[in-house]
This record gives sequence, structure tokens and C-alpha cells, in this order.
Amino acid sequence: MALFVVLSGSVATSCSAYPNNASKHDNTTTAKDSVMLKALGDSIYTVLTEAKTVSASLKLKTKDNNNDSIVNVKVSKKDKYVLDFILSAPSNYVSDDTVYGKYVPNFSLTFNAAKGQSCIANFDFGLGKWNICDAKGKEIVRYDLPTTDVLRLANQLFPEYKYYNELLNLPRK
Amino acid sequence: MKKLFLSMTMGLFTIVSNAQTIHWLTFIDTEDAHVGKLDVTGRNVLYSRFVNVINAALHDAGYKSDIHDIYDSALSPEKCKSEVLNLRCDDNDIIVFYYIGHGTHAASENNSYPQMLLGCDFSEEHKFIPLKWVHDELKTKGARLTATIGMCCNVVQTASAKRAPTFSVNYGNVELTESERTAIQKMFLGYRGDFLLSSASVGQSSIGGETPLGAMDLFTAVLVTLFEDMSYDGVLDWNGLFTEVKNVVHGCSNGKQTPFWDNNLQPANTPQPGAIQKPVEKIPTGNNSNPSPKSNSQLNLNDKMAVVNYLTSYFDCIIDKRNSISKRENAASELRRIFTTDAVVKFLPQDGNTVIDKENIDDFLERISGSRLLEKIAPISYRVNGNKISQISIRECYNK
Repeated sequence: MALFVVLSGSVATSCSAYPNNASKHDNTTTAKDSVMLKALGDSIYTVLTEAKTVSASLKLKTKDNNNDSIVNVKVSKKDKYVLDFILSAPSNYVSDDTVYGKYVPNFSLTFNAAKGQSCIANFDFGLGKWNICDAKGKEIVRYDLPTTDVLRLANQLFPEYKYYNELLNLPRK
Repeated sequence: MKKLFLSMTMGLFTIVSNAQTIHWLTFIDTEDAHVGKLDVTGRNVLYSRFVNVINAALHDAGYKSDIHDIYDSALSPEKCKSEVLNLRCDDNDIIVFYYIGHGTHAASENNSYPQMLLGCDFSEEHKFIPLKWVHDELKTKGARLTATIGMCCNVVQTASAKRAPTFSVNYGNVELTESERTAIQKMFLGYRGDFLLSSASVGQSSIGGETPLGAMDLFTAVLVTLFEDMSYDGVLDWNGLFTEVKNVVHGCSNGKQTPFWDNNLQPANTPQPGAIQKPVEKIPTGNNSNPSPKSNSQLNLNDKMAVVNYLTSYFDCIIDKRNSISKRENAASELRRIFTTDAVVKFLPQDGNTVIDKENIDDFLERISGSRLLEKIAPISYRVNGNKISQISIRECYNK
């Protein structure tokens, strides 16, 4: 039986130079972040990691299904640290598989950095994909979500939104 | 009296068995920005390595084929709904529904099967059609076997649960061995009931990409490959085939995609084969896009599906060895009338669209009306000149 090679994503590798007297902790952080840096590019990477404020948005369908309503919450400093940790994981930047589902994100994180720079990360937890758009809404990158970490954070920020609970409780084969 | 009753019954049985048809309803999204190109390949592969092969095997058992091949701009929820609702069949018929395109799953759905987007996006979410609804509707037609296969994502997104729609190529010379033909006939004629399948479990995506058959969806590539292998080995049955498909898809996707199905099929007696008769003769209309609705003797050459099915019906009759030579030649000369005097027949291979041979229409019809080796001729495309066909591309399937 022939093997089917399906996935076309590239595997990001980390490679960085560091001073000989750098601590072990610095080596790990550099290696981890360099994957993110390479995947996003300097400007987006800087906005994400040096954002002064982050806000989270949930897009809800209204009962008539014709319009969306947006709920916004500010992400606390504590949650920002958690978010930084999650988003810096290299596994977030591995692949963007072709799938037979539409990308319809309903959770967004807006990162606001100095000098008016901003970018938006959008998440479709059902399809398992996320993307980053610039301030004008143009998509820069899109990747597969490797874990439910961001979903769990979203569920914490919007605990009354049943859909996130349902996704977290889906049985995994 | 008994003899008269028996012969009348046999006559009736023959008439009934002559109406045996396998109905294919394929809906394939070949225009989507992300998966459209993969699905162009997927459609060609599905037809060349699955649909046509099965049609060829069942032709021997007296089955005509009725193709509803919906793709490109014709694909829509309205078209799917109308095709499913309007399908008519007899009780010895077989129905196979196959969808390749985007799908989703509603969190509050009361079954595990996906909803099909059929070319829509989430702004028209109310038009998504549940695969389960299609299957339940097709089961009501009363065919001996109904199979519904959905190749799409089954991920849980924000669509609402729906019970019903809320609004509407290999080709080339395929060769079938005796054991392949027998295995396929057994799979499609040796069972009665229904079969429903989704290419991904709830919460999972169906993936696409490079396969040995070209860039297309993984599930269909695995299905047609295993179908070929198992029919060649002469061991083909519904659970066996799809268990293998599931294992390969699950393995290749590292556990991210797991097909599942409901099998309500029971072993049944194979229907008696009868020679395939020619269809009602029709007068073609060329560029008339509004043929008189009362005239069912007119073939609208602008209606590709009608023309393909019409040609298929004639070809089935002409190559059927159970018909007498005079009957076959008679059908061939009737069919000749819808072609121009210098019409050309182009032959395509099983995979791909490069023309491998040509023949003029007279030589072609003479040859096929006397052939004892041809199992199936599948019309792929055609060109019209005035009110007749000037060129036709086909794929042939032979007995090995």
C-alpha cells in the first residue's frame, strides 16, 4: 500500500547565536522565540511581544442570524504573560494543512504596541486554525492550532459562552 | 393457465429488470479558492477509478447508469435539494451520493454527521444541507441499495443544527478482470439496505494535499486506491473496504481524521440481468435554450447532463452483447443522427485529459456495435455545431 504524503507544511527550525556567557534560561527562550520571530517577521513579532495592551473579542451571532454582536474584554497582565507563553510555542508555527472546512474565527486578540502599532490574532477553534492580520485587516500568516491552550484561555475570558465549553468537552479519537 | 401466468410473470420481471439503474449523484466543489483545484483532480479520479469502473461491472448485470455530476458553478444547495427530492427510481435500482467539499458540524446536532456547505460560506449558513437529511430522503426512494458518502470536514463550528434544508474521469481504457467485475457486482448487487458515511468524525477536519493520484482530498484518494486493490483481489465488501479506508486515513493523518459510518445493509439475491434497451429517440435542439416543455422527444444539447445521460443510455444498449447485432446496429444508426457528418470521437486515458486516439463517428459506431469486449463507454465532453454534435470525448472500459 503506497504511503500517502499529504501534509505540505514546512517544519520550522530554530537557529540562533547567543553570547558564551548567556544563562541556560536565555538559551531556551531565544530558541523558542526565534521560531516565532522567523514565522511572523520582525514587525508583527515586536507588536505581539511588546504590546502594552491586549483586548479579547468574541463575535456572537444574533438571534436573527443576520448580524454579529461583538463582546470585548481587556486581557489582564497576568493573562498576558500566559498568552505570551502560549503563543511563543514553536508548535504554533508548524503547518497550515488544507482542510475541507471554512475558516470562520469568532475569537480575536488585538495587540496594541507603542507608536500606534497593532495587529490582530484570530482563532477558529472548531477548525483548529488561527491567523494574524495587520492593523488594516490583511492576513499575514495562518497556521494550525496544535493544542487547546488558547481555547482554554478564551473559555476563561468568556465563561458563559457554551460553544467553547462544548469544544473543550468533545471526545478525542 | 399456470404456464401463461408464469410467462406473463417472467415478461413482467424482464421489463422490471430492464429498468435497473445505478443512480450517481456527485456534488463536487471545484471552484472553492482553497480546495477547488484539488477537487478538480478529485472529481476526475472519482469518476475514472470508482464511478466508471462500478458502472462497467454492473452493466454486465443489466444495469444502466444515470449520472448526476454537479460541479463548478452548478454546485449549490438548491441544486442538491432539487436533485435529491426529484430523483425517481425503481426498487431494483441503486443510489450512490458522493459529496466533496467543505463541511461543518453543529454543536447541538442530533446526529454525528456533518452539514455540507455546497459552495456557500457562513453568511448563508441557513442553506447548509445535512448529510443525514440527504441520506434519509434517498432511502425513501425505495432503491435496493442506497449509499451516501460525505467527504468534508466534520468540525464543530457555530452553524445551527438543521434537520433539513431550510429554504435549495481515469478514463482511458479501464480494463476489468472477471474477478474485479464479480467482486464489484457482489458489493453493489449482493446487498439491500442503506449505508451512510462521513469522511471525518465529529470535531475533525478532512484534509487534502499531495497524493499519489495528484493533489486532492485524502479520503477519496485512499478510497479509490483501496477499491481498486480489493476488487482486483476479489475481496470487496462494504465493511471490509471502509475499515481499510478508515485505518489508512487515520494513520496518514496521524489520528486527526477518522471516517465513520452506519451500515444497514443485508445480504440479498442478485437481480436477474436483462439486456439494456435503447432510450426513447430524441430530436436534438442545438442552441435552443428554451425547448418546449411539452416535447419530451427533444434533447437540449445545451443541457450537458441530459446529453451525457442520453449518450450513455445509447452506448449501454449498443455495446450490450445480450442484444442482437441488428438491434445494436439499429441503435447505433439512430444515435448517428445527432452527430454531424464529420464528427470526431476522441479517446481519453483513465487518468488525465490528454487525447490518446481519435476515430471518426462512423467507424466508431460500427466498431462498438460489433464489439464483444467493451464493458462501458463514458462520455466526458462534447462540442456542438449548429444543432448536432461535432466532437465527443470518451473513456472506454474493456473486459480483460
